[in-house]
Amino acid sequence: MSQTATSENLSVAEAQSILEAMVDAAGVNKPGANPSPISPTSVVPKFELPPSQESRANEAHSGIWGAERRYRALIEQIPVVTFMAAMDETIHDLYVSPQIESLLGFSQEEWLADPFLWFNQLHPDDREAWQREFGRTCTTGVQFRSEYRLMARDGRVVWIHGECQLIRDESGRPLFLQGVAYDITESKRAQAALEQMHRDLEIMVQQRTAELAKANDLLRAEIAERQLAQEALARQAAELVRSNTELSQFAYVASHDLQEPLRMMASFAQLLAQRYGQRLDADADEFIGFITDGATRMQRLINDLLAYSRVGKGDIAKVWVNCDAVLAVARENLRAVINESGASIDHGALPVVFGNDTQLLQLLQNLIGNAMKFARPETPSEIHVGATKQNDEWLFHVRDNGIGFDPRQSERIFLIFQRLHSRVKYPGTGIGLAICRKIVERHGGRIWAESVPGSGSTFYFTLPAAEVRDDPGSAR
Amino acid sequence: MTQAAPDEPIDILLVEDNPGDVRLVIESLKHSKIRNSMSVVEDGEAAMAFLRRQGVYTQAIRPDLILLDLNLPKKNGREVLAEFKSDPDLRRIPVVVITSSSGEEDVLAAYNHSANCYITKPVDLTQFVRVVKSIEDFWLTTVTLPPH
Repeated sequence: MSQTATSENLSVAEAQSILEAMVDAAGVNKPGANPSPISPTSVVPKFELPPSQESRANEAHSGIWGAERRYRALIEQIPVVTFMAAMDETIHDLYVSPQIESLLGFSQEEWLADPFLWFNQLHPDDREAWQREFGRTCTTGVQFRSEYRLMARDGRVVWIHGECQLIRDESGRPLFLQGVAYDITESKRAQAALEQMHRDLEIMVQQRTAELAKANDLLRAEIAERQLAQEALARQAAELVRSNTELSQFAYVASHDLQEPLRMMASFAQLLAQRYGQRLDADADEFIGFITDGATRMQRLINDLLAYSRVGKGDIAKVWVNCDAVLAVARENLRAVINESGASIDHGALPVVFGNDTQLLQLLQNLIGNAMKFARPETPSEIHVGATKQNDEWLFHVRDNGIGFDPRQSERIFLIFQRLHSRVKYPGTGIGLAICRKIVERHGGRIWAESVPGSGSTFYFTLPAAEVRDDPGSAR
Repeated sequence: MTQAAPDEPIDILLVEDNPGDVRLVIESLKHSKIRNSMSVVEDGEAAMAFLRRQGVYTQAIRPDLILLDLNLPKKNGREVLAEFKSDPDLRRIPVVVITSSSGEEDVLAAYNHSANCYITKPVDLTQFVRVVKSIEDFWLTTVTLPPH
């Protein structure tokens, strides 16, 4: 920054020498001296000048002081520290603006009195960098611009943004430097806080990413496990279907193929009896009786087995079935037995369900037939059939006043061919209830029985309740 | 309506592989009012050969009535029925399917292939004899059989 010429066109050299003289006179440069700041009000000794130049000099003088006042005002008001330092053996400040006091707590006098103060206040950690950068400025002439810390008087660390420029002479020798410095502590603090927040955020993001990755891995593992389980389940289901199909086919075929040898036994035993009965003794008759009896029973068992296997065979056709109507048909089918035994059948309103009408008929007929078959001697059967809605299913009951059964047998009676009584007393193969259970289970329900021996029994079964659509469909 | 020529025996072809059943049918018809002559073949292939008078059966007579079991070796009764009822020359001959099965599918299949009627062989001998007798009464006595 070159000196601006006054309104009088002094040469740079002239102005410079005048300035030097003034500075000298102010005593600023003298170490140990008590420098008084240059002030527009301080009296400046008049120069001794040759008379020819005096007026001109006086004009220049006032011009210079006018300018000086303006620049001083500027320098001392702006919110930065301005400084000027000479560069000889050391760098020592020639001028520092009063803002130094609010910046670091040192007065101008103090600052300028000790040429080493500014360096001592420079933060030890920043000294090397400062020197390096300043060295660069000296060698290259590039403007010095740096951020460094100065210690305030009270020990506070103040971050400084400093810029200065080197003034050289014609030969390039550095004469002095001048520059500005201002407080960037707040800015630095804010920046540090921001950087810390960034770091923290970074860490949080990493943590969260790691957590997510872990959760993802867990999920993936679980999905894989689920899929395996599902596949296993699907395989099991397929296996079950295949096995069931095989089983019912087997039952069907076996029953079928068993019929023929059976007929042979029964028929020829009878033929034997017919043709040779007279010629044989009573024992032979009895033996033949056992043979035919056996064959007949086997025939019934096979028929029942066939009936049982047919319940499970294939997909059953389902329609809307009016259970009231089904009960009516069952009663009709059992009319002979009902009349003969004097049984009475009472019923509540029965619902419409979605199922196979033939099988539901078989179910009701079996249960009612049983109720009548196992009546108490001399006691006509009183049978009650009803249904109540429970959540999403219908609970049916068939109650009788018959001989009942031991509640401990309540599971066994539903097993195939399991009977609780002798054949002679109560005829039957013991398949009726097994068929009932199969029918109920095929419809997605459950069947069980309760009893008080000597009083009667109640058979319960459930059927899923379905929403009745607009037309109740085919009822029998 | 009775048969035109009561002296002429009715020719029956029994297609049955079970010797026991063969015997039962023969015994049941033994004391029949109507004279009948029974030929027996044991499998479906033989049945077709007999009806077509092929192979060893070139001298075979044309039966008036066929009693057909469904479970036969080689060719089963259903196939025989299908083949024979689609032959314009043979299909007039009435076929009584008399078999062990009572299964609905078998009954349906038999009628679908134009069996004239379907009978399940009873286990009980008395019933069996009664059934054969009723065949005799109906098919040999009541019904007019198609002319040859």
